Amino acid sequence: MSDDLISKKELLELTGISYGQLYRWKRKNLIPEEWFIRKSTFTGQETFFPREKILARIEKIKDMKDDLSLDQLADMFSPNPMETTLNKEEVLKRNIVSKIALEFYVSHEGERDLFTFEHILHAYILEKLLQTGEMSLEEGTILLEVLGTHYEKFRGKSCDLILLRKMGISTFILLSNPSEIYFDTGAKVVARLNVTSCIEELKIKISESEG
Amino acid sequence: MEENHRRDLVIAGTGSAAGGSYHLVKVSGNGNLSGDFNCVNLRIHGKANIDGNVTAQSTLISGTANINGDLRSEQMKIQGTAKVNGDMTCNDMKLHGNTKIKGNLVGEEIKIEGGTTIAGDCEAEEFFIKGVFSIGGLLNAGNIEIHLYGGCQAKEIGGEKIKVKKPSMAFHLKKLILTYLFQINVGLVTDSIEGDEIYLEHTKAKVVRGNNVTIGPGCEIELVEYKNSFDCDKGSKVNENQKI
Repeated sequence: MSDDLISKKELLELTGISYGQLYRWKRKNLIPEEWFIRKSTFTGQETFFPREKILARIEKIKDMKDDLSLDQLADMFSPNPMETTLNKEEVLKRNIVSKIALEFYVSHEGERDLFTFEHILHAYILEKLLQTGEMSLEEGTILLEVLGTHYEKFRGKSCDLILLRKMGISTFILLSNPSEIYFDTGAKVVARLNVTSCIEELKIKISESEG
Repeated sequence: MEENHRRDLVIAGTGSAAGGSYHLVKVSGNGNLSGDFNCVNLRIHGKANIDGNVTAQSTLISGTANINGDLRSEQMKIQGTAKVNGDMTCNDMKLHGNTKIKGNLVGEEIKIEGGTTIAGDCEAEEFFIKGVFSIGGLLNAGNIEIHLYGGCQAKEIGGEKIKVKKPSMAFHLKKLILTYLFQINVGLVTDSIEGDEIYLEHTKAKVVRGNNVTIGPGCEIELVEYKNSFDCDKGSKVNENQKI
């Protein structure tokens, strides 16, 4: 467990940011509250962070803070959807979702002129899972159904998507994050996706292709 | 909802009312309000018990208010006593008097002259206090200025500029005599202080970490970690200091 964590002191040394910046970013919700993990050490209580997540996040903030204000950055990292609608040509032209995935999405969800952020997100998750080869097209149908009916309940919250297979039968699970879940030995977790980080990636993709 | 069509709710005397959307909610006697309120102006001059969440653009409490829920207001002025059982969120906040918050206090500019108890965290861009406070969690603000008028405590303090001062004797002789008479310990007690520019007086802390740390008189600090500069007054005790 301790390998995955990084102390506050080490983090500041590694990234070269100051305490002031760290607290400022926390105030602006650029770093989520649940990443601040308190543990007691021999010097008293210390704060630790999940190593990979925080280092990636700070790199991203440092890269983008010259172009965007802190509030814009906060929107980018929050699990709330963007208020963007794009039409089909734009989605394809900007290379946000590939043609195959989008066609598949449209064939199940119906043709439409405008895609809201949530539509694009569903198509994006679909593409991600298809691309890695972890999911078959048939399962893609179930995926869209699950996201379509249940994702709404997790709107603005952090959640994970799990693809589970057992004896050739597959099923999707949407699960709030952080939470623990265990399966019997016969079940195989084929893929586990953090929907919040998908949203983040998608937001970056959309805003980068805008500029 | 369009603001023009909202009605006013005025309780002068004793009365009770249910929640809803109003233009003005004014209690100048004794009011029991239940339900969630959404209003432009909230004025409490007498005593009000509100059982629900309140959202207002401008809030003035000059009597006593007990809110069993969250209080959200763009502007807020509290001159009497306020108890909030949930979180308090406000852009521009001025507190004179006594305030107790069971949740978190979040604001842009917070100015406090009086006593404040916050069970959770306190976040602001500007945090200025003259008085006494107790914060159960983290005090996190860009600019923190604390003028000690009694025993103050916070679990942790973090920010960019942190300044803790005890007012000079000449101006507050009366208060000083009072504090010596009642033997109230004037000072700040906290586990850790972390910031860029730090100046402390009469502070007891386990760890102080910062770029430029200046320790004024009357401090007791176990460990100071600094990046650029460290200064310590003769009348203070710092067990250990480390340059990183």
